Amino acid sequence: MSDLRSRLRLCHPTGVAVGAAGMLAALVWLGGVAMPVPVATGGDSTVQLRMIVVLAGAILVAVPMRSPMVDWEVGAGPLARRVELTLLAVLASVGVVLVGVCEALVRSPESAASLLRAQAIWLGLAVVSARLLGGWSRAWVLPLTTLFPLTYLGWDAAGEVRWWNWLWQQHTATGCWALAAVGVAGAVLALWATPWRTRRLRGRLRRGRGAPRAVPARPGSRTKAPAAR
Amino acid sequence: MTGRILLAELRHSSLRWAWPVLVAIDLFALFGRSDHWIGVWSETGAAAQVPAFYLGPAMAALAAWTAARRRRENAGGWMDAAARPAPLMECVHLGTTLAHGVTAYGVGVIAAVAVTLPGGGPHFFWPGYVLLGLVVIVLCTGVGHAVGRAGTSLVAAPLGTALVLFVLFSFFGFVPQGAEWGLGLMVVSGYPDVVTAAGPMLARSALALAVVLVAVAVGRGLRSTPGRPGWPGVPVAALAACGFLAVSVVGFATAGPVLQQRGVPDEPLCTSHEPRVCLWPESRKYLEEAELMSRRVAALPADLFTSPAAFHETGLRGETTMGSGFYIREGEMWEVATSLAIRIQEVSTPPHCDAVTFDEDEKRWAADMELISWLTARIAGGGKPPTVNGGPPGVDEKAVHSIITEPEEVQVAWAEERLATIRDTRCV
Amino acid sequence: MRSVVRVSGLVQGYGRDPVIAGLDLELGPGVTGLLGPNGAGKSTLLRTLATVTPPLEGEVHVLGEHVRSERTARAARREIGYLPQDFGYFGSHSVHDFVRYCAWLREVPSARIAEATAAALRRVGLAERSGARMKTLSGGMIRRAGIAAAVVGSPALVLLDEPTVGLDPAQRLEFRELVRSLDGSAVVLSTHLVEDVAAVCERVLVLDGGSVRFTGTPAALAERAVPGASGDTELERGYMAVLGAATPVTGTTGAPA
Repeated sequence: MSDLRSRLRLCHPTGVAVGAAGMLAALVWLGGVAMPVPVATGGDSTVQLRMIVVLAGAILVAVPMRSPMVDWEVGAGPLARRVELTLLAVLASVGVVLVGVCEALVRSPESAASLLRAQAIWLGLAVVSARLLGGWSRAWVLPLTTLFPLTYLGWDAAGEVRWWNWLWQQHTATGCWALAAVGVAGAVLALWATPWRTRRLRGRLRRGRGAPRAVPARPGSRTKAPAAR
Repeated sequence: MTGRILLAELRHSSLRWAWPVLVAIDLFALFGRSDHWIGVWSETGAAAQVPAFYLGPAMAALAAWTAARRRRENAGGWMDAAARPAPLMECVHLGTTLAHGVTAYGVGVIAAVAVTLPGGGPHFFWPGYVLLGLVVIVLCTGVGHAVGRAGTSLVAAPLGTALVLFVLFSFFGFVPQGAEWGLGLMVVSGYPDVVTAAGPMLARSALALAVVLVAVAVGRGLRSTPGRPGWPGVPVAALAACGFLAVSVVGFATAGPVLQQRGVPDEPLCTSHEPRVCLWPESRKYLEEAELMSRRVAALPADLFTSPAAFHETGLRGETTMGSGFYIREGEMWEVATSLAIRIQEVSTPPHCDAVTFDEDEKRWAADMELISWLTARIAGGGKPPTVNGGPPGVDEKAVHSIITEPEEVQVAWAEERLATIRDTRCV
Repeated sequence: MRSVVRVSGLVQGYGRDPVIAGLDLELGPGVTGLLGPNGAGKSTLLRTLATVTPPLEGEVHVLGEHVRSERTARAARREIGYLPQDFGYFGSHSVHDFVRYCAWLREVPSARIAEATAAALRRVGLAERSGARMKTLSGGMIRRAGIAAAVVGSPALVLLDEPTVGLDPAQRLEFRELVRSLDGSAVVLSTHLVEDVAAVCERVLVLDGGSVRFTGTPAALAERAVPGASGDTELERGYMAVLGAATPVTGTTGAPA
């Protein structure tokens, strides 16, 4: 626990706590406010403020994950890695519990289920975004991008909610829960895929295709041939 | 030289990876939307501007991220030691970001113009709405740049800026309708009866420029190493930028509505048949359909229904009262048919009065709605398209619309019955 | 000689452009200087030895353990002290907190962390400033804090990437003393400063274009000096002469000559 605390000290805990409290307050008091947005099928539709708050909350998890000591942490032992994963799990769990309980108490358990599903998808996307785009400072990119299809393209010409629109589909919609599962699985995969593992996997795939273990020469270098062994 | 530096920044900017995504969002927003705007210049301008609703917050996020990142990487140290004025260097950085947003937006505008050009008629391109979208993008990029310079978080700054602007634009960004309040920075549709007003557009452009100037000129401390004060002196550029911002905010607040009534055209497009259905020249692509509607109105049982001599698209006669004309909303001709039906119904039945009993009032209401529904289907030439939602309350529209497939005498009998109900209603 | 690091057939790089092409190396206790021009692959080699970047090809053995996976890499890092060339830090940390955090990252046993942190700070002359916040330190002091973070807990392998950048002459002399005092550790010191190598290194490795151009003692490198070669000292002239030679060294072992 003290390890987790020493890691937490690096991530502006006061700012994160204040931000989280503000978001919860917005969720409780302003969550039901509907905002008009233009939609692809013409005219406009509405998005409720709580959906935006949950999106922000899911990405907020990335703020403490980004450490100013990253240059040192890349060379750390297994304990630091475990603490990093624990920190992510704790932050995600706290977010899920706070959003779920507040929404269930203020509105309905069904609404809470829909929000938790959205939270899971956005959390997953935040982790994937951080991994794919090169660090926690870019964790906001993919989740934020989903606002466009969700709010603009989320309805078909007949005004029916598309199967993947996890903001507006019923809390029982199987397709959206499948997306949530894919999101979480994507996050797990992204966390698993460290440089060592991806390079190993790539090596295996290359050998599987029968490619020779060639030692490439560096183009443009003064080296005429690789050093003999 | 500054231009060359800007080009070099553009070549190496990490935002070049975001540019294709911005273009994709723009084109999806443009072409993912219903295609009613293609061929109507006023609607084309509005449609080309709609992506700014998304591009604006996206650019704010990217501007905040790049500005915060530059500060984190301690590039400020170089800038502190530079001979060149700080606002100019900030301009280069902000210009680089802005170039990505503006060019992505420009691709969408060019695409919109290109698809409308073949059938759009002589009233070429309405720049007002496009300029409005450009103002939004510049404004958002300026705000993002300022937030990024002031903050250090690479997550909270872009995320917060983008979401706050998204929510703000959702609530207040669109041109207000009726008693609503709004900033008037965006439109959803480009009806031909209104145009952007020069004064308010100028005020909005000035506001965007002022925000950009503040973002580049204010805050010598923002680019310095924290804790180290700069040279003493009056920050003239920053004060001037703040002054300009204050003036432009006042100008924006007092400029009035961004849309104004358009002048009456010399020669509106009208159908050759009586009754004439007249359109704005921009709506020429609907003329053929209007011609058919005109014929269908003429074919209504003359002894039962009286038609006005002409129907006009809203604003064609310079009128400003609601309901005096029809709108072609999002290209939906069903709603035009409904407007025509209501007008015919008004002319063909006695003026409205309070019924003696509630029961009679209810019966008259039902007959009224059923007749309008039937007339709409007759004028539109078929049942309601699936893209149209809603309808007259308490009417079984399917049943009413199925009547238009019955022989004429059956339909006349059905309509007579309803007209009799309306006419026989006893007034107070 | 007990081998602390053994590298064979190492290919390393980013994208399609390998920075190191087929490198063999063996290091025992003692100080090895890594010399080479910009872009020679020194930092890339150190990141590989620190197990931060897995090799594209070849094998890396640290303390007899073949580092071949995430698990073995992380286990090996307990014995590796690594000072990156450019490193970030939390400005609100005190110097003590900073070094202590790095000790924790490397899993120095909890009971030893306090003592190891204090010892490392003493070694770099920052014991009296241990309560100062990182953001209030000068560039040289931040560098010394980084060196303390790399040597805290006396790891078996210490990798120092340009450690003397930003140090004043007196601090550089102290740094040399510090490196000499790292008994029992294998130290790899990547630098551009030939005089640092002459002062503290038992052997020197000249890297250029991703290949080893020379391996041997500083004295042997000085002997390579040719008349007319540029440089102020014999060692510099030897270094320049080695760089001027076209063919890489074959059969590199890295063992002291």
